[in-house]
Amino acid sequence: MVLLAMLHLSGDVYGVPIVEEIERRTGRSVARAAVYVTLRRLESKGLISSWMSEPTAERGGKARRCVRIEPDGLQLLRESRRAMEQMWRGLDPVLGDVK
Amino acid sequence: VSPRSVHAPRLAQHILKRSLPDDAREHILDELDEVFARQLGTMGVARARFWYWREAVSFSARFLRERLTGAEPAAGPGRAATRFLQGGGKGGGISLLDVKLGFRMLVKYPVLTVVGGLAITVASAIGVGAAEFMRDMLAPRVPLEDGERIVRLSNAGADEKLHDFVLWREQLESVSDVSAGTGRELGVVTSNGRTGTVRVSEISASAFRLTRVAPLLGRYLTEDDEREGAESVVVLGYQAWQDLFAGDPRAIGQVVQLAGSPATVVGVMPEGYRFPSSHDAWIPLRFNPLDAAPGAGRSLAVVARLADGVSLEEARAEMEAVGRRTAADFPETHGQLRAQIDHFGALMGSGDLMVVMAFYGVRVLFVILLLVACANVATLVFARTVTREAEIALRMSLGATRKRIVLQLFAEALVLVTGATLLGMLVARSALGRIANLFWTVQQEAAAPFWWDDSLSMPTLLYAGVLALVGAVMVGVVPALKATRSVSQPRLNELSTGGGWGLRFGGMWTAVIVFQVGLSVAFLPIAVQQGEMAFQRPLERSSFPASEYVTAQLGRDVMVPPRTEAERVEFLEVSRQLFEEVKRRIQADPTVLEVAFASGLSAMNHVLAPVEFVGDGSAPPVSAGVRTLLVEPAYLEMMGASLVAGRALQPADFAEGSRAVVVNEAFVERVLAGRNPVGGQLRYPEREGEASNVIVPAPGQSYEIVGVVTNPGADAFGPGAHAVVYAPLSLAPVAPRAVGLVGMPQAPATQIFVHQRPGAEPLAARFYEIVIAVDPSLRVSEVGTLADAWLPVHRYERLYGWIFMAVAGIVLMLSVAGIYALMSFTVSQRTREIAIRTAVGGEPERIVAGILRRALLQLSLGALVGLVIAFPVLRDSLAGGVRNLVIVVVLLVGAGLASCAVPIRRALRIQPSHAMKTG
Repeated sequence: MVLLAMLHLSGDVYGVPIVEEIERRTGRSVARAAVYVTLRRLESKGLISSWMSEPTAERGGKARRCVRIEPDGLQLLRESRRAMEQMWRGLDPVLGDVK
Repeated sequence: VSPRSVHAPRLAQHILKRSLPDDAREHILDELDEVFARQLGTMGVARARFWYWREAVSFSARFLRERLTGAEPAAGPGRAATRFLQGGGKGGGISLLDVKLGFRMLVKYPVLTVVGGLAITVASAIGVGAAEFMRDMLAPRVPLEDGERIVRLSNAGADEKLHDFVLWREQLESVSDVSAGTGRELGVVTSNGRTGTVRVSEISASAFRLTRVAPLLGRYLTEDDEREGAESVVVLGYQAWQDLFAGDPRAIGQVVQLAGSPATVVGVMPEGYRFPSSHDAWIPLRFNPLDAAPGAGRSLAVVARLADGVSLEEARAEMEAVGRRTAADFPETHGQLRAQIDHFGALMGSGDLMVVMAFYGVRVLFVILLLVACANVATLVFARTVTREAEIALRMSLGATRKRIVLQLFAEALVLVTGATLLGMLVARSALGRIANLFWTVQQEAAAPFWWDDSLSMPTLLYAGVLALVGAVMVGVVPALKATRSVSQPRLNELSTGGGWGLRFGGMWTAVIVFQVGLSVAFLPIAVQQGEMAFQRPLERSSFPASEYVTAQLGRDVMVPPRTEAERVEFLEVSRQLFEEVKRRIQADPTVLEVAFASGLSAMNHVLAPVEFVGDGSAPPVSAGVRTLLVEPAYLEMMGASLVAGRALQPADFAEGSRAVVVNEAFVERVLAGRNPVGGQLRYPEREGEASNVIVPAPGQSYEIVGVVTNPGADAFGPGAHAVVYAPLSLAPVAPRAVGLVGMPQAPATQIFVHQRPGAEPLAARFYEIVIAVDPSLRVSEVGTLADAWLPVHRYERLYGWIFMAVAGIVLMLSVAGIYALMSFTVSQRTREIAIRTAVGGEPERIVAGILRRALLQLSLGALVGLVIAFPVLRDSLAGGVRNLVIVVVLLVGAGLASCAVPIRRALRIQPSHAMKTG
């Protein structure tokens, strides 16, 4: 979910907008700490990378820790999407139209 | 509200700073601030603050968990070490979480914590205490400058005499300041009329140089003081200075009467100085080297300091060489002796292989005790581990390695064992001082020597640490290895379908139960009996009015000891007359019924001398160690002993050359197994090089047993009275040994017993005045009633009883808990079987009877094994022993059967349909 939120975002991608994006799209509140822990785990696995942005005036001249998805992360998203679609296939008659 | 003017809660920020990892701290705090500023605008200060707090707690908890479980990504140089400690995902070590879990387990299983913890506490307290005690005996730390370089020179096999001292001082080069000393208790009277007794050391002046302690006032002894004809001087210890002069510095130059002779006080030593043992005063050791014939003369303690750059081993080598030369020069006196050097303060020679072996033997004994306790606790932990089988199986299926699980269980055990060991060390520390005091009192020392240290030394602490580690391996790792061995995928499937207990024990559990019950039945009644004896003894003696008897040690000292045989005979004759005069004056006191002398307090005399009973030749001779007490005619009757067989000692038996002795009933029972001893011959074998203070009548001579007396109240030791031979005490001046004058020839000493009228004012207070009035050279020490004299012995016995009772209590507790755990476990194993049998129509009564029958069989088998072991030991005192045995058996069998009840009830309640389904 964190990776998908990152894809949806443009500009400086960091913790605060990611949490907001997930909350906005799912309509549920998210444990902020869980998102930060997840970001650290994803980075340690090499799926995303981080860097410090230029200092911004709105944060009192402090830099942000921005993140971006690495090719491995993209690949993982593709694989998990494929797996999910396989799992969903043929379930429409059972579940009905969810739209 | 301007967002910039309100800060996030500082405490919450502080908590966050402490809990967030270094590389994430900065940006997470910044981003939380960013959101906090926005929240201020939308929800107000209070709610924004509340929001911040909630986030702080959430972040702290999640990141701490990340850290503890090792999921934290490795980055930065400090991480590797942290990860190792945490164990990481690969199971490399014990993590903080494991330790936390260990503490949680202590709370979760309180019975196991209390039972197991107590067992290990008691076992480790005894083990650590014994190790420290032995260390103090063998290699104590001497609190003097370079104390470890002070050595004691001695002869293995005999006392060191003046000759040895002179020889060693002249010949040894690897040691310096060779000094000799001999201690005794002297009566002292100051010029202002204060009186008291002091433990005086007659010592070489060089001893003060050797200890490198400066006097507090005045000077210490010098070589000039040792010269014949020099003024008599004394150096006082701090305590004696306080007692006699109330700490007045003008004490220097005052003249005191020491054993009736004047001596000038020339110095006071600082507080705590009691060299060479527990002395209060020092006088110069004077002797003429020409008197130093080999093997003759006074016994001395010889000390020295290792010369600069010389090791103990080098000094030993030189000493051995000197010893060999001496043995060659004087084969008669030194042929069998071995000269040796040891650390000063080592009460047992550390160079002696037997002593070292005994030292480690005792340690091994206590390690075994601890291991037995740990093995029992391990059984309990195993039973607990088995109940956690599902948890362990799940964790293993989720990828935890076996090593990881074992480490976790080890950490849990480590928490328990470490806590118990620490507690045990505290107990040992507080008990050691009291035990040491008792030990030295029973050893008839006035006080513990100055170097005796009750605190636990570093090596002992390390030893305790190793013991705790070994204990934790037994308690944690062994059960964990057993419990994890059987967990496999098929077992997981079984568990997931509600299959229940998978570990099958069958024969092994039966064996464990039988062993456990057997051990308890064998050991407990014996321990309880020992404990009971220790506690009962004083009560049994209470029929003897010990408080009506006053006793004291009477001796005589002179400043210039007799040298020639004629001088010695004269000295003893004068002493005898003075002792008789003391007796006469005490007898004249209206409160006194009777007075008698004996060679000592038999209750305190722990030296056993071997005797050989020859009898009339109809049976083989019997050898045994017995106590021998030399007594005056009135002694036995005065102490309430009555004649059982033969005749009493008569005045003629006290004449020179008489060879009649009587023995007590305990002698007949213990040594002769009930044979009639009257008319039999008793012989004290000749023994070479024995310590001279073992009281024996002339060795090598035969004595005739003329009578048997009941165990006198004064010597009685409860049901297990000691075998005592009563030989006639004569104060006539023959050879010192034959008249039973204990100790050195120049200091005769004997025990005086006074029976006072009931209710009379105790004589003890006036004793000193009466004796000193006869002659100031007389010395009285340890004045008190027999009840006082026995007090340390009682305390010693009671301590022994406490240790036995504590161990017995622990064994009983462990056994009951162990049997409970095992029985309820084995029944639990059969839960499904019981439920199925109920389902197919089995009558509950029959099923219960079947289970109980099996349990009873196991318990009875164990009891039988225990009985076979215990019976030979308990046979001697069948009545009490059998009672204890019955109590123990009933208790254990009861606990075993009771422990079946809960699981049986649970099994019977299971719905048959459920049992069928899961079957």
